[in-house]
Amino acid sequence: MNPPTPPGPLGGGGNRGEFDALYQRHSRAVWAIAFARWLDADSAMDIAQEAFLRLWREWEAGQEIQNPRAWLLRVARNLAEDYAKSAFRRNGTSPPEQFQGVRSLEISPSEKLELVERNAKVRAILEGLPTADRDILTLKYALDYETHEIADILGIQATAVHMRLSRARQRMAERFTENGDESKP
Amino acid sequence: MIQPPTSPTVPDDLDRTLSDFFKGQLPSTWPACRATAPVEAAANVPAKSAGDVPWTSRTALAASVALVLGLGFFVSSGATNSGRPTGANGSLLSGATANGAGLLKAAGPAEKADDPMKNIPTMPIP
Repeated sequence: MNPPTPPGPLGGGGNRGEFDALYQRHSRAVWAIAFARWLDADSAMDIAQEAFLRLWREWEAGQEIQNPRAWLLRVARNLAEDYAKSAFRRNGTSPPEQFQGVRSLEISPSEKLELVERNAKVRAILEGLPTADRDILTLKYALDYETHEIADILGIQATAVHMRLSRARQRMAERFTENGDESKP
Repeated sequence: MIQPPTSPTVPDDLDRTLSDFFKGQLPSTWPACRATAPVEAAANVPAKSAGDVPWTSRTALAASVALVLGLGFFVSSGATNSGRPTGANGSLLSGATANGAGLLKAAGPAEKADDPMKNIPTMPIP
C-alpha cells in the first residue's frame, strides 16, 4: 500500500511524471472514498479515474490546485453522488451481490458459496451504516491505513476516527448477532 | 500505532472478516492512470500516413470491388435470360410487332364475315 503523504500544491503546466506520482500516492484513497459510497469496486475505479482525468484537465488548463488530494476526494464524492442518478445505477443489469467472491478462484465450490454468503451479509450490514463510517472502514480494512492517516485524509481528529471505528465495529457485531446465523464472524 | 478500542461483544474475527471483504474488493492489479495513458500511447505510436496502409488491405479492397462488380454482372445477365419463356421458340416471334391497334384492325372484318346472325331478319316482339 502507498500511505498518503502530505499533499502539496499542484501547479498548472507541470510534467506528466509529477501527475503520475500524484496518482500513485492518492488513487487508492480516492478509490476507497468512492467505494465506500456504493460498495461497488468497478464503479469506484471508474469514479477515481474520472476524478484524476478532471484534475489532469484542470492542470493542463493552467489551474493551480493547492491541495490536490482534497480536490480529488471532493470530486470523487460528488461523482459518486451523481452516479446515483445515472441510468446505469438505476437500471443496472445485475445486483452486485451476484459477483461477490468471483475473484477467489482457487477455492472449492462449498468454500466459495460460503464466502459469497458471508460477503453478501457483510455488504448488507455495511449498507446500513452511515457513509462516514464506511469511509473509515474502507480506508482501514482495504488499505490498512493508520488512524492518523485516516484522520488526515478525512480532515477529522484521530479521536473521531477512533470513535467512529469503534461504533461501526460495534454495529456490525450487533447486526451479525441479530441475524443469529452460524457463519457470523 | 494506536489501536482502536474494542468491545468484548465484538467477535474476535470481525477484523479478519472485514479485512477479507474489503481486500477482496481491491483490484488485483492497480490500473494505470487513464488520464495520462492515452497521451503516452499516442506519443509512442508513430503517426500513420496514407502510404502506410498495408498492401493486404488494398488487395482485399480491390478483390471486394471486383467481386461486387462480377456478382452484379452475373445477376443482371441471369435476369435477362430468365425473362424468356421456357420452351418458347425464339424464331416464332422473329419479325413480330407488338402493335395492338394493328391487331384489332386486322381482326375486325373477319368477325363480321363469320357473324351467324348476319342473315336472320329481325322481327318485332309481340
